[in-house]
Amino acid sequence: MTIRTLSVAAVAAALLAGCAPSQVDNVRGQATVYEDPRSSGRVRGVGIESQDVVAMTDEMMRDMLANRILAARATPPRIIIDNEYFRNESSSIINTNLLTDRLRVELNRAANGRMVFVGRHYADMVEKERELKRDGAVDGGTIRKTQATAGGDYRLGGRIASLDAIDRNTQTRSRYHQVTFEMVDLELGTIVWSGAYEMRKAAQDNVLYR
Amino acid sequence: MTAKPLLISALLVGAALVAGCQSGMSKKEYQQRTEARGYNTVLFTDYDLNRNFKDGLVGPNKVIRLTSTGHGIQRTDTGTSQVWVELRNHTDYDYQVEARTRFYTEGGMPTDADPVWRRLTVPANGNAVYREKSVGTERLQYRVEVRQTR
Repeated sequence: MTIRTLSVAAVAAALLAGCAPSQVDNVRGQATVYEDPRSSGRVRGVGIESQDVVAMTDEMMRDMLANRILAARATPPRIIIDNEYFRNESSSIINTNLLTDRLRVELNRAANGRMVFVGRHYADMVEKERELKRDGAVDGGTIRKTQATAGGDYRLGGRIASLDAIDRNTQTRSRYHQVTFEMVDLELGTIVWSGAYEMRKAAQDNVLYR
Repeated sequence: MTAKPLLISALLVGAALVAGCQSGMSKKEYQQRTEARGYNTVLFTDYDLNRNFKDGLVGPNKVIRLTSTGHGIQRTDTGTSQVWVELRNHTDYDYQVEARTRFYTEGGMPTDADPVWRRLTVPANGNAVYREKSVGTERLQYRVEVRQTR
């Protein structure tokens, strides 16, 4: 009898399990949330984040505009700012264009003619158009003709370096970043302006940067 | 017969009194939160840092963790302006704070590049100096905001 009862119970349980419907987790999804790139967001770790990019480029921009060699010449100097000589030697993953592009854009807007920026990263684009004009495939445009494209007076160089530490007991990670920005005289090779941004962050969160 | 209107009146008065007391904000705090913000000033936007929050009947009437011991503006070599603020920490703990400066024309119009929060550490019972430069060369007024690091 016991075996019979058990069998009946097992069959009933199997039937019940079979009747359990497939479930859809019918809840409202997490909406995309806009965050202020100038402040820490909800995902934060020890790497370089948006607020750091904004803070360091803003600080460098303001400092360059207070430098007499760069911002108070009668003839505005021609400046090249790109990531060609800006290296990331740190353990943080970051596209260095984030730094150099923001710095160039903000500086160009703020300088308002006190500096002239050479778009060396667009050199191919300019050369192609000049060739088409010289070959007569297109007309000369409406601005002017020049012997050559603009040469730079100063160019940005710099690097990102870091120093990592980890507490093996608590798994707390700490990372010190040192980001240097330097403006180099393209004739003499002297450094006419330098700026550095330092920060150290500690966190236990396992944040992945890409 | 006269008891009913009396009861209703008493209830109404009671409700009015309760409603009047419901405001959790003291007069002093209300004043501080709504007062006009002048130019060439330092504001602690985190009221926990520096705040008059009670009239003094219940609890402390003033919280001071940080104060500004001095601030000013001066011209740089290229004609831009530089604001400085010296902060004093009155606690036994290092304070990580953020500060930003908004610049205004002499007529009071917000001008210059958008302000950005800049971090600084004010050591326990010590002082720290925050500096910020403008990008424009005109004469400017300023307003510095200080808050705890987010």
